[in-house]
Amino acid sequence: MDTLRLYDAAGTESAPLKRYPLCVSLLPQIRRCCALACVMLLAGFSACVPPRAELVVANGPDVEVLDPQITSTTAGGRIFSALFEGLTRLDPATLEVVPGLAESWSKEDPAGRVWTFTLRENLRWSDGSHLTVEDVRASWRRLALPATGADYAAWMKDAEVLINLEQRSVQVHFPTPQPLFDRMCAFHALAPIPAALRNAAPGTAPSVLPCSGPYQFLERRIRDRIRVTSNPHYWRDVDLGFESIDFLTLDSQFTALNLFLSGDVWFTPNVPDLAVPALLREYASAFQPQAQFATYFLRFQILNGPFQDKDLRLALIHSIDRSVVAKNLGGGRPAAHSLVPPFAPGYPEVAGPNFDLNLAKAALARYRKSHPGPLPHLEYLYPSSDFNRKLAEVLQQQWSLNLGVEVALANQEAKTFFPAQRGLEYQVSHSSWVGDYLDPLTFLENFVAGSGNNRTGYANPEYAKLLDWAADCGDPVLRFDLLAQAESLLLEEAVIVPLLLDVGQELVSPKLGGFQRNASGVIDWAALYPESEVR
Amino acid sequence: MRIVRRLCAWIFGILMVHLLAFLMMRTTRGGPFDSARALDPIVQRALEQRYGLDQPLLVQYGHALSGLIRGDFGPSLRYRDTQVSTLLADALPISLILGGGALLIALLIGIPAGLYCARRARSFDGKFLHAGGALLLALPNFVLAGLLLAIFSFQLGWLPPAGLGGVRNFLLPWLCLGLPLSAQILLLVRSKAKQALCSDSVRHATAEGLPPRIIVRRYVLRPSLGPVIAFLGPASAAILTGSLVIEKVFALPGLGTFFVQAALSRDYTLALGVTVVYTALLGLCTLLADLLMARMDPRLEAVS
Repeated sequence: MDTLRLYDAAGTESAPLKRYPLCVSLLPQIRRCCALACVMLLAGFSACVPPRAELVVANGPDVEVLDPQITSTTAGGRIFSALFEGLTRLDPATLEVVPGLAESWSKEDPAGRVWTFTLRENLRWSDGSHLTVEDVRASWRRLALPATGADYAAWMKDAEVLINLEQRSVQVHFPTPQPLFDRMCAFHALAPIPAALRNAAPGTAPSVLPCSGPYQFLERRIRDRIRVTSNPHYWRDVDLGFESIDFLTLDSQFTALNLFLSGDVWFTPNVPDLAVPALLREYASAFQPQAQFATYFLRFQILNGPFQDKDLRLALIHSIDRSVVAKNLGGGRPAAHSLVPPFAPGYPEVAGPNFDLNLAKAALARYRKSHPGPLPHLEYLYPSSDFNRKLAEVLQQQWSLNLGVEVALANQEAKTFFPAQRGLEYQVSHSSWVGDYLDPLTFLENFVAGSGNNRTGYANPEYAKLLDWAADCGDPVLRFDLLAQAESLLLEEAVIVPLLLDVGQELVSPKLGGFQRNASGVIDWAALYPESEVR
Repeated sequence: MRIVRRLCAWIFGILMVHLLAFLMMRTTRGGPFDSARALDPIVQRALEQRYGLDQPLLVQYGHALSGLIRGDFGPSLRYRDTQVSTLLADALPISLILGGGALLIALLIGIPAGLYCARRARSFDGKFLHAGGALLLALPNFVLAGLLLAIFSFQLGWLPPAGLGGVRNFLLPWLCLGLPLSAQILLLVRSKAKQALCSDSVRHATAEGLPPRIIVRRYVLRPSLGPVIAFLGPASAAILTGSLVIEKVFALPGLGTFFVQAALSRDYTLALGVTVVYTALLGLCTLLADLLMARMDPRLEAVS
């Protein structure tokens, strides 16, 4: 029945057609392939399905290197604060420096060139081995080594570290004053790291990573999650609310928000700006954006090009209405009037440039008088991203509407943008800075001549002198006063334009207790607990 | 002999793509250690020295080439404590599960729907299905992902919105990747099947009184599968190596994201690794498709 017979015109039967081996039907083959694929898929799942941790949080972009000295991202900081404790810690409620691995410390001279820390007795790594002052010295030495490739190598460069094993004391001598070293010690780059990590061969990660924080490292799945479990040898006698935590890698804020809304994660550090109004309306208790110690600002390139002229810079600066910028960008970011966000306790308020069209127009008129003819081609450079594009467009509109000056927009992807900005190949450009520790210096030190983060061509000996005086001065009030003078000078010279403060857009489930919002994004993971639990 | 020739061409293709990718990465501005926070120049030099980036380009290419031959791409420059081969080995299974499932869905929906459309080309349901296929093809996959998420995760609450977990976590990504592909297959099968339905062989078979099931299977399906296989060769290589958008939306750690991330972060070694994997897979899938087509239609073999 399966043979097809053909007949010629005379009606005689021709030879039956030969069948090809595959031609009977392809369906059985397809069916077999499908069955095989199904089996392979199901087998694949056994390899990639991790069981759930007790607490699951969205942690943003991937932590590329599990090494607190090398990774300096905020996402990395969140994980490292669970795994590695510094000699000091920051209280998440007040951001005051409180004892960590060190039970006490002292500044041996008023300027802070010599510091002595005394470690707690009987400190242990999570594998039970002793954590000693030798670990501290070796970690700090490794941080300073160029081959380590640490962003913060300069912090320990040329520092001499002396230890006393019996007294458990570490003394560090700096060539220049470090008045805030105790605060810096709370930052993960200065936390002691275990020998396994210090001695790991380049390009490899240690198989076992002993930790000193409330949690210890358990597993890392690149671009999926990092899992930590409780550290039985943590020095603080705390009853952890969660036995294990999963830090999920989520490149998309929309995905993080979806997971939060479905109840799969209890915390996400950022939300899409688009969702902010709805979250403020409907999740008022879970979502309370708080300004951070981080600023969005503009850099002018003042060595050559049109912005060499201060009048043109002033014209552009005074024609920006920050309230309009903040409103159009959304996301709850407040306007910034100074470079240093107003959160460093005791730091005086520095008056920055304001929106004043008369000043702007007068400055432009002065510029036109000294440079007759048409305005040169002006260009604003920014690193490609949705947020940066939106900010650029708002600024372009402000300059066009308020001042009648047309500024062209140009964007480059980040890896091209930063070398261009560093090489001063721009006129005016987008910038942002996140303070490493709660002190104005972390912003102001960038603008001394020769700093890799200056990127403006600004080199004012008076500015450098003010910072030097501040560094040498033992009196905290006078120090802040000098730093404020330096900031005023920088703003008066119109080298940079503060625009907006960044905000912490933490979305915290009501089920998660013990969470403290603050301006530095510090989280005490040991203090978190499931809200239903009676404590 | 023909296969040997094709395999040689495949290896040559990989080497050429490797060379081109190497040159393109190195002539692009910016390096793996450039970031918003400037590194101390001494630290930057030490890092470049450690990864051999301070050597002449020719020497660096020599290292990359010997690595390729040994199958060792070296450490990633972004994931500095991880080897590129480890990154690829971790991500490839996820991509294969994602892409394999999507292909399966595409074939299971696309082929029957295409045949149905062709047989009922003039009726309303055939036209409706055809239009639906065209619409699905035009829909960007992030829109489809958004729609499916809104319905299945939030309205009905049946499926988790993202993350690794189990079969349930893969259903939406499979649909998002598979449905547009099934629409493509539907259109390919439909146009070929319509031709086949008007062919002499079908007329004869109908006159012979063969049941329609057999006629469709033998004289309509077989010629219709040719273009599908030709299309699926390169398409399956693309779909098996992951999709940036779907991986990002559903937080799946597959290979797709590496293609873009490695280039953007100037992770030279990882970028070369993913390029080679994709080229190799593309060559293999195309070769397989060609062999399969030649077996299905011996005339092709005669021509080649």
